[in-house]
Amino acid sequence: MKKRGTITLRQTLIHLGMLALVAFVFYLLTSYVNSIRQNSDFDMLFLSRDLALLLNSLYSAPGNVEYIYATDDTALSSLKLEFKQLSSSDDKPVVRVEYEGASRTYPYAKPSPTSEAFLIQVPKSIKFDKKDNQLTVTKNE
Amino acid sequence: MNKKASMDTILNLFRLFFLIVVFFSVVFLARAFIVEKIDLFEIESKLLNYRIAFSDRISYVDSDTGRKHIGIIDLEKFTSDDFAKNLLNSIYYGKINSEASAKIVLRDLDANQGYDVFYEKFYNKELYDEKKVIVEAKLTGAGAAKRLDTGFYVLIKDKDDFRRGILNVEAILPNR
Repeated sequence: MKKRGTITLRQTLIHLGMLALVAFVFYLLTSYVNSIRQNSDFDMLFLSRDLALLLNSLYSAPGNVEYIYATDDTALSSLKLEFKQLSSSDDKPVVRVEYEGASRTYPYAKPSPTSEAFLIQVPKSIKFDKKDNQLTVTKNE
Repeated sequence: MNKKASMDTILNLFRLFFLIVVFFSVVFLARAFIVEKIDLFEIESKLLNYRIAFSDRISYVDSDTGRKHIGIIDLEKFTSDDFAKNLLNSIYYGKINSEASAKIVLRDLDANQGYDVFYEKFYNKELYDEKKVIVEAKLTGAGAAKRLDTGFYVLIKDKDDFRRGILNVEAILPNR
């Protein structure tokens, strides 16, 4: 007859299994939070929208405009930025922000169907220069 | 298996289920605090409305100086057959524009005809007609769209005559 209060091997294994499961769940949660912390998705999302909105605003302005776009260095300088037509088939102008293989795009409107494409890599700040409805986008360093 | 052992199994299954619920709750809560969408609708649609209203495809442009007179609508341009095509090319979202559309109504306040005189034009009419139905059905989420109206008091230039008018631009943009 088993004594009251003693723990069988089966119960011990179950408790150990539960502990292992809790540790595993804890590991999953911390790694999930870490992945969010390192996530640059929001930066890309924000920059693509902000730059597309800026291009729309520049093209809406009636005269010539020179504009320096600067954020804190770390946000921009780790990114590759492209202002271009996404593909020749649909000819759609977009701002494309790329970081470590992942990318985000957002459309903007050009003042004419003529093609334009600018590629800027790891800038500290960007210079937008609009003269006679022609835009130039360059690194500003 | 005795009765106590089967009770233990049920209890352990219940614990496991509870653990899974806790895990998903934490994930759900964490996701709730992450911003995944930035809604630009209001600023973007307002910008489109102003861009249309201030466009040289609508405004009177002095042929001698090349100066664009914002707020003075050239009726000849507005009523021309090429108006929609010209406007689409001056606010160019690509060959297939699935990004923005608008209805533009110019109301002549000094027409003295005894009835309201107004001119109705569209920027990207196909998309406007498609999305207007969705806006009126008040659908939300992906595939739906939103509408924003902006009114401008303007002068209408009809040859050498200037009349008062209201330019109403109603932008419809799909949700992004």
